[in-house]
Amino acid sequence: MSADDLRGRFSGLFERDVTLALAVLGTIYLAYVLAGVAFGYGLRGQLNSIANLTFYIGVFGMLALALNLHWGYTGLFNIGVVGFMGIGVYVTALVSKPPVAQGGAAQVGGFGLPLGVGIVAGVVVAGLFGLLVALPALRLRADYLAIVTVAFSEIIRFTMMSRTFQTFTVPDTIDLWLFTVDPTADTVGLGGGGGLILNYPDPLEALLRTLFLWEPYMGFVGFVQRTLIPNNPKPVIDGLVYGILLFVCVGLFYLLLSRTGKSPFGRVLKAIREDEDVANALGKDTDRFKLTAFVLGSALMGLGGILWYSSRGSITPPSFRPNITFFVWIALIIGGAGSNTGSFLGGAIFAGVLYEGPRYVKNLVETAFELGDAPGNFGEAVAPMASFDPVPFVLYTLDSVSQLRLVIMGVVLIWLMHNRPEGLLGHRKETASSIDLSRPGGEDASNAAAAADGGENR
Amino acid sequence: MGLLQEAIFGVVTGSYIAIAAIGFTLIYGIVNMINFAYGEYLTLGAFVGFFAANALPGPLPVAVVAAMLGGGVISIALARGFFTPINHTGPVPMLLTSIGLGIAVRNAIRLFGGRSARYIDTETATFRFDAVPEVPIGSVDLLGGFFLTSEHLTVVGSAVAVFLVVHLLLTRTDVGIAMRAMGDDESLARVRGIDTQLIRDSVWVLAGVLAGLAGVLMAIQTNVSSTTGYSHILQILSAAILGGAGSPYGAIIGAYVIGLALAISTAFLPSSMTGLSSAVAFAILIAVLLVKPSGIAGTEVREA
Repeated sequence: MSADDLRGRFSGLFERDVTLALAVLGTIYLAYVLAGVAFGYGLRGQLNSIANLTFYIGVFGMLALALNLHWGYTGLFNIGVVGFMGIGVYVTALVSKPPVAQGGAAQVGGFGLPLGVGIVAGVVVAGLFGLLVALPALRLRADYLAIVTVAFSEIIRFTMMSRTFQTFTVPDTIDLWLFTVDPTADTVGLGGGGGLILNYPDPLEALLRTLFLWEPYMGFVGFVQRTLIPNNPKPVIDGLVYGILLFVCVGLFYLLLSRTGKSPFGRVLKAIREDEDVANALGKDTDRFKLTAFVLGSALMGLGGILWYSSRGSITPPSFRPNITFFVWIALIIGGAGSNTGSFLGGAIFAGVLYEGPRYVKNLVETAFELGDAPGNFGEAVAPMASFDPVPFVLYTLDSVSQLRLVIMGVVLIWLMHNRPEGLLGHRKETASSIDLSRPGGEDASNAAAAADGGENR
Repeated sequence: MGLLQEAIFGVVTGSYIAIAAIGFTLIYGIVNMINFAYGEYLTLGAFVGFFAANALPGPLPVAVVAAMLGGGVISIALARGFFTPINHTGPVPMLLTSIGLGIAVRNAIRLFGGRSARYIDTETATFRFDAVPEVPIGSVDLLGGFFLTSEHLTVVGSAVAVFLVVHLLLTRTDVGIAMRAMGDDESLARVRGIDTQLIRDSVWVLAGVLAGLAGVLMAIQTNVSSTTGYSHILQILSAAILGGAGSPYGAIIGAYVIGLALAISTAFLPSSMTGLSSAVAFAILIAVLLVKPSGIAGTEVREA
């Protein structure tokens, strides 16, 4: 094999990844826009749906990338993703919510620190909880780690809901060894079952103000109001800009994780995934490597949770059910565990087709046709089919689109595990090697079946 | 309410968790998978029982038997369709498949059955024992008056019957002994001429029958809805792992530990912390996994 040949292969691979990503994103966006046009969405509706789509592609892309570090690279079977997300956003809320006076309104306050501090605190605390879970649990085999993590995420959710942690009273002065802290906060807490209202400054506004871009941004909003959308364009533009911000974060996640994956550290992780005993025998302290990878991934999941929920106005414990964890897993499996590009694309396809797709169709149909009320149950929906009147059935399907969506997701997951365990986009797992091991002419056949089980050896 | 009353509730909860946990742990030990869809087997069993109770003229036991038969048929059908074809791929793909199956079935039930809870009509006799003296220690009353309902007795009685039948099945019948052999070492069992696929199928049927029974008992105690089983899956899983994965006897002990821990933590924790009693069960599970990964009864060491 000549050097040119090798270089050609590398640049070909690079181009393929980028073009594939652009093609997938382009197809999803094009489908949304065309469907919007066909059903007569206005400009505002179009931009809103694009912003929504971008948001979910961003968050699922990020979370799938973080999960890929656990499962795709290291083979750690974490099904407690949502726990780390919850910790991240709750800590951010606790740190950054403005304080309330003691004995005042029933609303719970926070420490009133800047949002940036809150985000850093959320990420750090999520990482620390990752350490707490991983420190003892990593010596268990894969399916036991799964149980520990899912139980952990449920413990987190019950803690959020419990009245014990609903409010704390913060003492007026806290004496630390040499100096005294006088926090402005009086009552803080997790808000119990009612959740927390995120009444800190809007994250986007806070960021733009820090970057001294707020005035130009408001000017741009004014410009859009004069030219394109006369009626209150700010929420639409906010959504779009936040989506772009999320894509920038996805890019940073991607850079960080692909650098990690290619580093000597990442190669040890992949070696652990393939065969932990061999990595151990080669003198690698595999427990420490697994620990570091788990903590880093948990911190990134915390950040993902913060970016998902911190701009939503309020958070409640039911948002942090294990379902979200399963969504992230489906995204990762779609893209194919073991590759960063695959993880992001899996997140994008999951968000665009399975997560937002059915809801979008429902909204489109409801906007396009004036429809009556849906029948109350399945029996009433099917009965008119006998007289060839499908409308009640269609209405019922649309009305229960959130259940239907979950049924489809479950079926897709089963189908993937049966037919494409290596992911929809084909086998993309990176080898635990710094050089290209593939021989010219033909893939290594023994690799073909191992992607979705993370190289688990039996 | 005294501690004795809470303990009774704990034993009742432990009983139906135990029935389900035996099925769960048999699948874990012999098919070698954690079945996250097992809660849906319970739900389906509860629905079969509900429809049987309404459609069939006979007394309630007829509905219970129908639920058990239905559970067995559903279980083998789902296994044949979704798990047997990928038996060779190992625990993790099977676990992920079961997560997918659970999501799909649960929401399909909600899609067709609606959200509302259904109730199985039963005639309940309540036996009150109010004359028991109170033995207060601090804020907790150790004895105190208590009551039992005929439903409580039915649940506990069914559980004891199940323990006996499963014990006899595993120790006295060929198929049970073959199940235990497969749980110990599948290759060795196959070498000795055991039809491993047949045994796996019988485990699926047995687990489904137990799930149907547990589901219908839960339905009689509370109600039938799309989340009847799902809301208990983590408790069942905890009980099975707590007792040592793959060991039916351990699962029984684990189930009563979980049931009593739930009930007694409700009694001892201050009222503002009652929401945490479910968290207590998982905390026990994690603690046991960390100290003794093989569980209470297990001798098997399953480390990576």
